Amino acid sequence: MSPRARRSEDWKPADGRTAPASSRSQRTRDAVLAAAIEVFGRKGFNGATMLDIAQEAGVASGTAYQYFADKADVFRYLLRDLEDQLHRETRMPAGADGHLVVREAVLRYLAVYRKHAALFRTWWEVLEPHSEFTDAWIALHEKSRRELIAVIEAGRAQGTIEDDVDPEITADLIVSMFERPAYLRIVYGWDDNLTDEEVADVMASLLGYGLLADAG
Amino acid sequence: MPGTSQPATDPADGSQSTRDALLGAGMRTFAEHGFTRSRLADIAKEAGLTTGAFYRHFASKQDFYAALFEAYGDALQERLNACPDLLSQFEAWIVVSREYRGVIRASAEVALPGTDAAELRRTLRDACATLLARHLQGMPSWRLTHGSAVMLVDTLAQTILMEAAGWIPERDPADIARALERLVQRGLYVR
Repeated sequence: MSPRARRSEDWKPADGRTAPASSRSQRTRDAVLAAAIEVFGRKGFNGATMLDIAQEAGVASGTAYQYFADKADVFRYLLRDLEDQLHRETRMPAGADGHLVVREAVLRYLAVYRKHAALFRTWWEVLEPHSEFTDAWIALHEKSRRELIAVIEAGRAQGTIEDDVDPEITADLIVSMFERPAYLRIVYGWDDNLTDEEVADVMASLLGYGLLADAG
Repeated sequence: MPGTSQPATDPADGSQSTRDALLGAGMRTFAEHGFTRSRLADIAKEAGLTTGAFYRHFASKQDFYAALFEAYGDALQERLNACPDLLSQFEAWIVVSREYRGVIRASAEVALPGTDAAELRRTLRDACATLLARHLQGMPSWRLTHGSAVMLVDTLAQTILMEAAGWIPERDPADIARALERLVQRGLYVR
């Protein structure tokens, strides 16, 4: 199964649905999307209905169905925007010294996560059972993994990272380190008495010279 | 054989093995299909029992999940408690979690924000972080030590979830443990 089988970036109006032609219908569609974020955030994906979304937007459900085939279609559209932003804003590039710029990347990731908490909550909810949204999630994380692997391999080649650091496994761990703490912290509200800055510091140590080295 | 399971036994005495058979079947079924797509009838059948037998032991599918999660939590804490250092704790985490991969997969579907299942997970997460924190000496405060341990717990849990769901390949537990322990002790870079 290809992780890129169906990207949400491929969203286009479903069969029989129209792209908004006028600025008025554009506004109506935007209202439906904004309402969907609100409803998904409150009720979750499984608890939400198209009727809830239409009511929240103040339109008839027939109007909402003009633009979207179903709630999955709405979420597909929302995810397309989120993925673009995530990849644009949350990449963790290597700085001039070849080291990952961790602290800033963590703070940026947490900020984007917080801004889109309702969508992340919904996304996690539809990861299982496996769906097109799982494929989109895997594809996004695969992109991050590949970038991290490249940075680690470059570091090994330059001698800034020791040869015994396994690029693949370490990249998996870094992806995990970003993802779950952000999810639990923001969507579940489990902050563990740490500030965002402290979380960023801990991760910068883990991806710097070690937790204990920096602390001691 | 389905339909010919043993007659109902008093839950107070001889039915522990029936319960265990159901839990084992649930673990396998959840591992393969996740929570939502696993039907109680299939779990009972996998255990060679009927749905009726299932309901003599568990009030609901949620209740059944909670029992599985408790078994996982007990096994995990027992192993982490017995480990002499972080490296062996990391490895034990991966090994035990793979044994309970059905629970891990189901947990991603069940323990949604605001549910009782989420609270169970939070309690286990804190308890495990406390066990890891024992081996994280030398940080400036207990708050930071525990917070860091929680992040390590979350990192492991996420890695395990990704492999249990088939999103990343399964790797040697010792290699994963070594890679994470290295980050804790020495980080990524050469000094």
